[in-house]
Amino acid sequence: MVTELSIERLEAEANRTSPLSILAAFIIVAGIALVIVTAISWVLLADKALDLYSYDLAVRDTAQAGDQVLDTQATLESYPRWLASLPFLGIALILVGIGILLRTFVRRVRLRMAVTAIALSYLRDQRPD
Amino acid sequence: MTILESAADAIARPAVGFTRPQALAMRLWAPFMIMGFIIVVSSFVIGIINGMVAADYFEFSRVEREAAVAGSDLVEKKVFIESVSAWLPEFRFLGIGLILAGITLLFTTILGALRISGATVQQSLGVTIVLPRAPIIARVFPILLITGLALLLAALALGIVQALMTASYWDHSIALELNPAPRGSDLLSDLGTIEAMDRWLEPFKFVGTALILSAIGLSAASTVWVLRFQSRRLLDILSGRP
Repeated sequence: MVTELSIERLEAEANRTSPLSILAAFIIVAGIALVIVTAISWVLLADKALDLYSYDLAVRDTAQAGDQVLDTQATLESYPRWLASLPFLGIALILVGIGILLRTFVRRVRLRMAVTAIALSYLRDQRPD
Repeated sequence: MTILESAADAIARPAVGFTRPQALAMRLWAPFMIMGFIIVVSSFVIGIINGMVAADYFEFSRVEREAAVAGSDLVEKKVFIESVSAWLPEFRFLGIGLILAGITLLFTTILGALRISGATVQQSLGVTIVLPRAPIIARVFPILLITGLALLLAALALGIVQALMTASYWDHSIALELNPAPRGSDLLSDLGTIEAMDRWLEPFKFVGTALILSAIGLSAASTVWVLRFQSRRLLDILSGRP
């Protein structure tokens, strides 16, 4: 009876997909998505930079409020200040997802211990001397 | 007691527990990861605010920006933009470093779980419990972790010092005070210090992060080493060797 209950419980535990694993997968995918969005944004900013530097220095330095040149310059100065943090946020999400997966790994190690202890004890009991 | 009951008894009451560092790691991995994630999210929010202030600042023409006097709204915006840019990168790397440290602590927890599981299997079989002596890599990785975190904290502290110097420098009119600053003046000397600090501070955060990543690598290698030891021990037990 003790054996059946133990093996049944262990079997249920072995077949269970931890909801944490599914959460970790979503978090990792979200992190990768953020990194890709950042890459695309930087490419678009590069286009803006090409635009700005098609004007000579005199035009850029004497641009007035409301000019397209000044607007482009404002975009190029402001966007990188928060875009620089976005890939780090993506990497942080990926690392947190890895951490959650490692945590589920600890539970699997404990399960493996229980199954190995019971299996080896059973096999030793069954082995002809 | 049957053999299987002795196995269940060994699982419920293991003879060996976590070592002190492993028990500490088990309690600390989650707070480290949470703190690190909060820091990264905060740095993103501060980056957005910095971006908004920069957008406001660069709406004005270059002549207006450079003619603004100390204490004016434009100069205050410039001070904010430059000083935040001085410490924010170090702050971000500290956040990533703390998350990586949490992963290293998780590997330490895994090592603890493997230690208990290996001892429990031997206990359930009724053989002498043999535990591996920690290899040199398992003794080195905590040192790498602590050194890496210390470097990241030092980088942040120095970044804050640099930010204070930067704020002090930019709190002047660009056209009337900063641009015409002569050789040997305090302003030019401050600028030199800020620029020099920018360059030698740069590698701190990368070296700190690299040390923590190395700690992860060594802790993973320790896990492999322990698994190999456990396989050898099981084979010894099955062949009847003590």
